[in-house]
Amino acid sequence: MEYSFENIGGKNNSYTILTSSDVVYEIKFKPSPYLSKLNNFDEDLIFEFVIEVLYKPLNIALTLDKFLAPTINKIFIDFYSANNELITVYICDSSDGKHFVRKRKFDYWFSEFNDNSFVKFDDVLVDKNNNEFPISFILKRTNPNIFKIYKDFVSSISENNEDKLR
Amino acid sequence: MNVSIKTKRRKDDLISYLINSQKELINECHEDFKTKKFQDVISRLKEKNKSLNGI
Repeated sequence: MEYSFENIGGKNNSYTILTSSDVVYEIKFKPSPYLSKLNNFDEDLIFEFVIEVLYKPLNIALTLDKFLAPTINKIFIDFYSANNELITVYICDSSDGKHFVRKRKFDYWFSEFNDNSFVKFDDVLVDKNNNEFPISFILKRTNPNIFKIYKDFVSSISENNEDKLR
Repeated sequence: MNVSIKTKRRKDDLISYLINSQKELINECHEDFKTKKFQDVISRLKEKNKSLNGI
């Protein structure tokens, strides 16, 4: 079972979810020419992903919602239906110290929704102050460039983290 | 003589880019929420959820 969602589209490929508790989520897949150029991929293949709570009734706590993961699954399937070779990048901001909470939540959603047709590569980016930013790349298992993408992913992260690893 | 100039990417450019871009996207989400178009979408979704059994 999943919630209803609507594909609003737009330049950043928006989707809206409304839960049974009237919590409103928006998901976006923003084209990322920067990452595409960095990794020598076609400009229209790499997308940055966000999921944001836009509205939550005051009396509702954002606890585990068993219908959310299958809804996100449907959204990923809908988005990838246009092109099996798409790559989605998700980074967790650490500015509020909740990056690993976000990461755990995203990992839970992914493990719940993934029917094995998607693959996720995980790593951690480290900045000059040793702040850590979990990052994930998600693609279809059938992506013909899967090995190149993995290699480029590891290479980009390693290059960024050079000299910062303890 | 061949001279090649290689511009090295600053190490934290990738993080700065991704985090700033994410913040812009999140702001955009909250701006979307204020629009009538978005509120219309929520109204439609409310109706759809009502018709789903078990939710």
